[in-house]
Formats: sequence, C-alpha cells, structure tokens
Amino acid sequence: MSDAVTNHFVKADIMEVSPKYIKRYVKEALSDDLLRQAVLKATATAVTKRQERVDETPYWELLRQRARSYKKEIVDHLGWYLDSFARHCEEGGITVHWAADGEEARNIILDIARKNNVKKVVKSKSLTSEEIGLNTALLAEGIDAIETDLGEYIVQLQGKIPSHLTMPALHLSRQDIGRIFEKKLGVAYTDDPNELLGIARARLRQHFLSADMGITGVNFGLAEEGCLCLIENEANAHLSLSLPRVQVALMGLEKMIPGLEALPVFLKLLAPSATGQRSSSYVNFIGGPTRKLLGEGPEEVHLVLLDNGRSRIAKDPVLRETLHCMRCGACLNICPVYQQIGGHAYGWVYMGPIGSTLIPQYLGEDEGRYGPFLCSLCCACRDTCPVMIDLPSHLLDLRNRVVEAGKSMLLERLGIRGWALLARHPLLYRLATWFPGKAQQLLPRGAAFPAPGYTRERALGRFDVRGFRKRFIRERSVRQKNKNSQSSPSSGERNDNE
Amino acid sequence: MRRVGEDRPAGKKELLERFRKELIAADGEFVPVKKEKDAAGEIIRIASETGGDTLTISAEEEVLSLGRLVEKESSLRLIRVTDLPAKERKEACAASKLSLVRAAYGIADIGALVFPYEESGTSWPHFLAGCLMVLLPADKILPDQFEFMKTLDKRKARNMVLVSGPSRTADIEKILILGAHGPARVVVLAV
Repeated sequence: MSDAVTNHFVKADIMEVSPKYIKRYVKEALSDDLLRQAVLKATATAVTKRQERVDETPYWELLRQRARSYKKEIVDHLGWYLDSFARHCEEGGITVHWAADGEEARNIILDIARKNNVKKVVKSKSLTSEEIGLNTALLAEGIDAIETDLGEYIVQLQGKIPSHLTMPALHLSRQDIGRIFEKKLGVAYTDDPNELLGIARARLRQHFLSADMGITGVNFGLAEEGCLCLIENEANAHLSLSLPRVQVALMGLEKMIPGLEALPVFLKLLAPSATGQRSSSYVNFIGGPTRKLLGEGPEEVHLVLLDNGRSRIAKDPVLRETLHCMRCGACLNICPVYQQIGGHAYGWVYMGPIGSTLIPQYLGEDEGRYGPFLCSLCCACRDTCPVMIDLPSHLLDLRNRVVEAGKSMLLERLGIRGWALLARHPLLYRLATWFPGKAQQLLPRGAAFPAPGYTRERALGRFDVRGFRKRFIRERSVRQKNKNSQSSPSSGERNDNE
Repeated sequence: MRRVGEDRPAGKKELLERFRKELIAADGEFVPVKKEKDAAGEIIRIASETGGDTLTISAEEEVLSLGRLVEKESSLRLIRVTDLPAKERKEACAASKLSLVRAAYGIADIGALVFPYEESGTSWPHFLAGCLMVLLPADKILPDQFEFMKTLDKRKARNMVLVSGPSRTADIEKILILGAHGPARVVVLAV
C-alpha cells in the first residue's frame, strides 16, 4: 500500500468534540433532516429486530436478571475479581498493565509500539480507545493507526468519531460514503453497498497483512480463566489479533464477568440487543500468545486495564450500576431523543441514555453538565437495557448533582429562584399568575406571547385571561361537584332506574 | 416458571435439525454427507462454483485424509498449513478462495462452529479464504452454549473462536452484506 493512500489518516482533521457545546450540536442536528431520517430508519430497524429476538426467547427476563446479578457481583467485589483476572491472564502469558487514566494508557501503548518498532497498527472497534483518544496519540508518534471495522473505517476517513455505539456510520447515507471513498481513497464514485465494501475490504486486507501491531477492545474479561472475549461480525477483530506480531487489548475495568459459565447469559443478551441477531458471527477467546506453535497469532499479548474514573464510580452507592453496561446500544435505538439528534450531538464517544450518564461521571459536572438533560424521562431505555440499568433514575440523580454543584444553566437558576420567591409570597404569586393573561389582551386577537427560539419548533398556547389561580379554583370545584354527584346514593338509584 | 435453556433440543436427530436450521438462518450452508467420498464430491462441486484452483487445509487427520482424496479426484492444488513457513502461508491463505478445516464442536441453538486453535496452531485458513468448508462430526453437536461451556476442557480453550455463518456487515444503511473481511460463504459438511 503506497504512502499516498495511507497518508489521509495522518492528515485527517479528527473531529474535536466536547459535551460543553451540546446545545450547539443539538441545534445543528435538529436542522439536519437527512441526518434525522438516517437515524430514524436505522434505529427503527434495530428496535424491530431486537423485539423479534426477545419474543422468540421465552426466558429473556430471566437472562436479564442473571446478567444483572453477575454484573452486580463483579462491581461489588471489583478489587478481588481484578486481582484474580490479572493473575490468571499472566499465567497464560498475557502481560498485564494497569492504567489509572487515559494518559497513562496511551503512554503504555506507545511504549509497547516503540519497543517493537511498530509502524502500522490495525485497530478493531474499541470505544475505550476512542475514550482515551488513542488514534490521535498514535498518529502524533508517526504510527499509522487504521480502523478496520467498516463503519469505523468510514468515519475515520470522514475525520469524525462514531455516532453510535455499535453502528458507527449510522449518520451517513451510501451516497455520503461513496463521496468519502472517492475523495479519500481516490476511487471512482459508487453508491453500491457491495462495491463500497469491496473497495474497503481490498484496502484493509493489505493493511492486515502488513501491520506490526493489532489493537482490540475487550467485550468480556473472564476472571476465572484469565481469558479475553471479543465479539464481532466482520472478522476484522480476529484478523487484527492473529496476523500482527503484537496484540494490545484495551479493556475498561468493568468489562469483567466471573467466568466461562456466566458467558452464555451475556452472549444470549448481547447479540439480540446490539444487532438483532441470535448470535454474533464470531466470538473470539484470547488466552495468550500462540505464535510459538505454527508462527500464527501474536508473539506478545498485552492487556491494558483502564481505570479512568471507573473505580471511583464503583464506590458510588447509586451510580455504580452504570458500570454494568455492555455497550450494546439498545438504549440508544429506543431513545426518542437519540432518534432525533443522533450521536454526535452528545459531544463525546458515549452517547444516548448511557452516554448521558457517563459524560458527567467521566468528564466531571462542569464539562458534562448538559448530558443528563438530553432525556425525556420516558423510561424506554430502562425497559430495554439487557442488564436492567435504571438509566432514568440515574439521569435524575445526575441532574440533581449538576444543580447542587452550581453548574446548571443561568436562565434555569434564575427561573427557579424567581419561582421560589413567588411561592413564598402568595400575593406576589397571585399577581404573577394573573398578569400574563391580562397583558396578553394587549396583543392582536388570538396571538400568543412571542418566544423566539421556542416557537420556531413548536406552538405556544395562550394564557387564560382569568389567570391561573381563578381557573384552578373553578376547575377544582367543578371536579368536586362531579365527584359528589357520581358517588351520592340518590344519583346511583336514579341511574339504576334509568 | 421459565427456565434458561428450556428450548433445548432433546434427541440426536433434533439436535442436528436445530443446528441445520440455525446455521441456515445465519446464512451458512449445511450439507449432510455419509462417506468421505461424498464429502470429496461436494468439495469439488463447490470449488467449481467458486472458481478456485487451490484448497488450503488445516492439519487435522480427517482433513488431511479428505484433502488427499480431493487432490486425487480433481485438479485442485492442496496447500497444507504445516507445509509452509508462516510468511508464505499467510500469503497462500489470503490468495486462496477455498479452505477446508475441521470443527471441534457444533452448537445447535446458534448454529455455531467451535475452533480451538490452542493445539492446531492455525486460524488463518478459517478467516482468509473466501469460502470456508468445515468438516463437522454429527456426534459433536451440543444443544446450546450453556452445555458447551460445561463440556469444554478449559485448559484447551484459552485460544478459540466460535463461528456462526459468514463474515458480515450492515454498516452501510443497515444493508446486510456477506464477506466483510472473512469468508463470504461457510459450508458445513456434517459427517
């Protein structure tokens, strides 16, 4: 593969995002009709397929309960399981590294790359590597880091981050992808999905065959066996771990499960929840270097165990439950907010309901203050989550924490203070609820108060001219009268006679 | 009261039927064969459909024996993984359209094949060829993943892969396409 072809990764203008700018991203997303169509179509398909799998599994709820109890057991005894897992991994020949944060993890991986004189890395999809900004660090070191999952490859060429946990290029149409390939790979434009895959497959096959190092994520770490489990559909993860000399697996601490016997529970939940399949095409087990046998597979297998705030979250009596997440993306697909704004609007690598809980936890209540508010509290995510995370409750809890930390929006703070003042002074309250109805009469007939911004997307009703208080008292007395007349014995007799 | 695994098939015949059904649902192909000669005939037929002139094979005794028969009865050139050093083998596997390997187990409820490569030392033929043909002894089909994890010799299972059908992607507008990076076709020859 010529340098001219791989250089676009080095020069790529990698999307810089921050949850601080969520309001701007949301506004942009809401005005992009094509994006909304693409997201709605993809999520609707995913929701339907998942439901088909759920309906055909008679013991689905039992699986969810079991998965939840396994995850709870791990998070409740995280230190013990980590020690056991690391010890068993090392017995199998896996070198275990501990990284307190993203910077330490990046340095460990760069160090491994330097020691092995690595020039090219093939990466299989890893959200944890996105979390620590690994690609940028590798590129800065002069190492070509090539994403090999088709969706990730497309968004890497586009210079963006994934817009979904399991469908990275969900925001793009086939025409968009055709144009990206034409511009970045120098091929003739096509929007035929088979041809587009053929182009990517041919390019990436050459990268697989010539890469020095493979970087993968980990879906499940098996504590009892010291084994890494990696789930995929494309075979890119297996090629990333079996062709290069060195393999690095980057794993968040929370990805452990007790062992092999617990694994089927998670496998039976993950594929239906993520892609609507009964089973993913490939379930890889990595237990150590295999090159000594026939010269295949890695000479060295490194496992980087990333904390980056996870052990702090594990100590939180309420929010520790968010560490149960398998990153299946089912909560994104069902979420009416995600369906409208897509993934990039969240401003970080985790999005949707689970992302909204992780953003303030990982990035702090200042940078992540808007995350928990991207939710309508419809609770669909809680009913869908395969490990039964109570996401709406956690989002409410995080909203409280944002407010208590003084990080809520100025307008909101002023509004709540104003309301508190009125609520303490009944006369002022009466005036405040009476005044808008009267002031409105000065407007042309039928017109409501102007509310720039708000009325661009929706209608604003007119205030009742009697004022809120009078209307409330009147309607309450009417309701009371109706109730009395329904419950009185005489009315009952009259009805019977009728 | 619901029970995990309550949809588990009971008898041998039901197991094979469930495996066949699930494999086909996962876009795999199921070919029952009685004798080695029948299996060789199927391989030659698939090779003529695919247009490949080489067949990469893994090193298990049953596969080597079947490979020899195929070589005798057709013009297909055989590449045994143990014959070549790693660098040449990698290129040969990547260039080959066809491969033949053996599965240690089948898992009926998801139509999956189990390949432990702790002992065989190879997984390139399983992933690099366009069409993967798999020899599966019918008596090695287990009802589900729960049963499989219990049966497994955990010392030999450290490096292993479960395969359910061809490699696939739906990353372009959720349109399913087979043959993303691995085989586009998986044919199980159930013996």
